[in-house]
Amino acid sequence: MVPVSPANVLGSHAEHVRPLVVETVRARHDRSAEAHEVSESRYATGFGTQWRDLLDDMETALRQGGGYETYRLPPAGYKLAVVNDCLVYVWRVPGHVDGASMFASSPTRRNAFSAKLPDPALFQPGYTGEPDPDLDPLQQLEVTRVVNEAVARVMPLVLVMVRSSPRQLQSIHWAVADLDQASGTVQLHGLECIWSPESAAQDASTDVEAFDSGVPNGPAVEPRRQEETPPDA
Amino acid sequence: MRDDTPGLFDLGHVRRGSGRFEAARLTLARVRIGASKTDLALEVGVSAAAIGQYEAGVNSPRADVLDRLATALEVDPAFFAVGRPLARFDAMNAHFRSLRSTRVSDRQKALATAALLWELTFVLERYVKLPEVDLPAIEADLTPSEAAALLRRHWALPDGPVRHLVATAESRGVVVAVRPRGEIDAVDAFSARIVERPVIVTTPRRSENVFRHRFSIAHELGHLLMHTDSGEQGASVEKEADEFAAAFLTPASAMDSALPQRLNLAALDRLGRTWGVSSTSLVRRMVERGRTTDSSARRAYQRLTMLEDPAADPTSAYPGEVPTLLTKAAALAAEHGGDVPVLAEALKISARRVRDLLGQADERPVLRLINGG
Repeated sequence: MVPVSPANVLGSHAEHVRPLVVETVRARHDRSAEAHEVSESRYATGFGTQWRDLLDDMETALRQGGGYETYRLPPAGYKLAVVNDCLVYVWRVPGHVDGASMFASSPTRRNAFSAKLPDPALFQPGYTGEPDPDLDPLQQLEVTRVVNEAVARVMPLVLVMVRSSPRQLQSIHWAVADLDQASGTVQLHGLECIWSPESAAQDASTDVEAFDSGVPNGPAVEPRRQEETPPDA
Repeated sequence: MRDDTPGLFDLGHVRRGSGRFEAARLTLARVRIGASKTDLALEVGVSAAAIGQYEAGVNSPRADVLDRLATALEVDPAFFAVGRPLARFDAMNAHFRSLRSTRVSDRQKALATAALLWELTFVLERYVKLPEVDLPAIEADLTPSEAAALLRRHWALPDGPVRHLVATAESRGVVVAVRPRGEIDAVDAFSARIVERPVIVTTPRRSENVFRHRFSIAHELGHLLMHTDSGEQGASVEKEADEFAAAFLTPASAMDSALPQRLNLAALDRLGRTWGVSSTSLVRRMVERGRTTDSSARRAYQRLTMLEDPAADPTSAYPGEVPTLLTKAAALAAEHGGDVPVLAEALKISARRVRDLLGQADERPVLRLINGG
């Protein structure tokens, strides 16, 4: 059995999506942190309101940067990107919450676990339900079967979890999330840290030798031989 | 060639008090200790006008006055003799970091220090070979960034951070000295080419923190390359040297990929520790590269000022940033017959002052005569 992870469900898109996700989260964090600093607020309430912008930023980045379709999650109508038939939801994990246990506490977020694949037009631009004259009847049947199957299928949910405070972006993880309808608990599969301050530091210094690395080659001085004439003599 | 003038290295042949009097040497010795003509006149027992006449070359002091001048200025009487290596400090094209706060007397004192440092290297070269001066010639129309890129190429520095900047500069024949606190604080840092030898002098205010120290050294390298011949002074020249330093330490092409997309002080701190520059200079670089706005940068500067720990990252903790050329040369010279007393005799100054120029603490006990003992 292939382990379920974001890399599996996103397939070849994972490589492209991952840096877009990281860049988008970091950019929103930086803006929110700066706004918090400028406001000189004693409370992190304002900083916490970034969650809605984060959702919109992510949808925009994936739509504009990757051409991915948008899915509106009812009832609140949050716009989410659909990547390789997976819903991508970015969520700033509240400071007091342990793991993803609270994710399914809102009706809209809960609906993310039962989102069906969007309109078949997504898969075959120009698809109208009419038989395609270029396909033979057998192929046409196959297309209809695939589309019907797809319409009935629930999209896997790739949950991007952001941990941050006004002082620091602490981490970005992603995982495939599913909901145990009976107990209401969220399970994470293939949880992976895709950004941390440490990894960023490593990236910044990749292939770069720090200014103080290695042993300095000091200036070379050597004794002057008797027969040598000093300069300017 | 003048037969009556000893060669530059025939210093020992100038007998005590026997050479003709060189007025500029008196000025050099006086401004070096920061004494006014009036102060010196009182000390020596002549009028201030007489000191002025000696320094103008109108009159020469009598032998007894010369001895008293030498005593007051802590030099040998032969220090004032004609024919000694004389770097005319009053004619040097030096560039000072602190433009507004520096008095003429402070600048003269700093230049006198630089002149003596040069004389020390000059005498050391009797015994040791110092690295050849290796600075490229710069076309007048080059921008500071182009000049910085040229120096990187000329020194064959790899892309990335400039490692061990001071050791690198000294290996290319640049003399670097950090003068102790209280001596020439007012000038901050300065540089000059003295008889072709580039000399950079900084003070603890600039050099205590390694990042500020590296930027200062790069700034002075910029002056040495771009402004030595012109002798131009002023804020625009200082700005050019700043641009040179930024481009030399953090080239724009490298920064475009290394700088964060948004102002993030933690990220800048990490980046600065790799490139050997302060977060403040990286914020400035972000503004220059269009990554942030002036208003965001101002807030970042305020925040950095609040967070600044003056004791953090001392230069002394980074061996590649501590000058070693003069001390290494002096140690080798001592092994080959040029120890401190010999150098002092050649320079016609006290051994204590030679050690001071070398940055060595004088650890010998201080002896005092006890009256009636």
